[in-house]
Amino acid sequence: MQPAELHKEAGNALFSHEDYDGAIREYTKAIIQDASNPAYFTNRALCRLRLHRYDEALADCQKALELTSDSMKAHFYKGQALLALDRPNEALRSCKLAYELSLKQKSPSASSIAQTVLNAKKRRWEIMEQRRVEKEGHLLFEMKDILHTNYEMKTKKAEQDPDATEQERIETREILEYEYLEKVAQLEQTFERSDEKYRKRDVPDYLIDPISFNIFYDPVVSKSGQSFERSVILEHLKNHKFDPFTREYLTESELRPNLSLKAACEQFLEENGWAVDY
Amino acid sequence: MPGYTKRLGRELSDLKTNPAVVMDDNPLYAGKTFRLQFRFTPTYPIEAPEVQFIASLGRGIPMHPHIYSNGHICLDVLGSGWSPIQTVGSVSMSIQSMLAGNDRNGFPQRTERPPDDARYIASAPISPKQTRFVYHDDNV
Repeated sequence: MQPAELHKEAGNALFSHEDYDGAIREYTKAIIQDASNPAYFTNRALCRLRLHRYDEALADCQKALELTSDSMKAHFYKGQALLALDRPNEALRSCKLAYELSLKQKSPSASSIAQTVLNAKKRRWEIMEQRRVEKEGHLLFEMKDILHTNYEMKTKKAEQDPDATEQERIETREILEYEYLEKVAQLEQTFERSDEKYRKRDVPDYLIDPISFNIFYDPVVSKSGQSFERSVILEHLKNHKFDPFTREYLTESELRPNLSLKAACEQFLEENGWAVDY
Repeated sequence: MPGYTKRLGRELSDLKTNPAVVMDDNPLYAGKTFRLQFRFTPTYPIEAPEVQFIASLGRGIPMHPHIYSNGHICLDVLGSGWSPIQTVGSVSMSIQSMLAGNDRNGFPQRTERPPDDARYIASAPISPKQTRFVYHDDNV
């Protein structure tokens, strides 16, 4: 085996024992030996994701993509890193590419990629929602800010209390945090009650996959006319060749994309990003 | 398989607002309380949950020709008849209908255990899902 491959194998072994720093060192050695293999970069990117080192993970993904533009893992890890760095629009693009590739490759990652797409959409909505709330509810925003400043002040004061033991400090910190979150929740509730727009609604059942109970991202329709999330029904069809509703014989090739349902979900999410966590 | 824990969370909250109850006045079970146990593998709901009756203080195993005395239930939706669109609620309903439909008029044996009860519980696996039940009598 090539020396680079040996380092990669060593890295994989460390990775499976959750020794991410150790694994990164091995993958780095592999890259020094052979910088033309994108797998070394994507493997290292995954370790860095696990360690919450998103900028570095992102750089690894970029390098992997320079070597090969159709690496599903590179796109997916890049999407995750971008989402963690709070760049949901770019994350969305990367995850969509990863999703297409995962379907082509029949990868078991398809459903977690679909979930990350939805999370990116949710984050994008949250940012827009925050702007809206900022505009429409300056007061709420300011009050939350005051609560936070107040909480930080109290925490700081408690941390500097010379008479408290470490245990007491931890407890005080927990109590303060609990009180703070409680107050924010109360404040939000009060504002919600006063403004119908802030109130969460229900997601209509027809936008929900009947198996995973998630809002659809890539719905397909079976010959019985029922729709399912693609990656979920594929998981079912792996061992069971029947339509979950009618128990009629069903295979992957009989599924058709349900584009209008997909569009309906996309529009719903534009207006109701919270529905991702519904 | 990620993502399915959310489904269980939603099932739970749905059950709290909308308990799965079949109105039943079958005198065989009137006034009695039974306890069902659901166990979920990481593959739920692609695969069926493991469901059985649990005996504890004041709670017995209902007498029924499809329910073994160790609590195992011979019901197709829990085995080969499972479909991932079934839920904890729908399974509970099926089991309640099974009990409600136990009509002993002219069939005194229907207040009893399955005919092979003694043999089955002597060698039954811990999990009822490891048993390949033969779904014989659909009239009960």
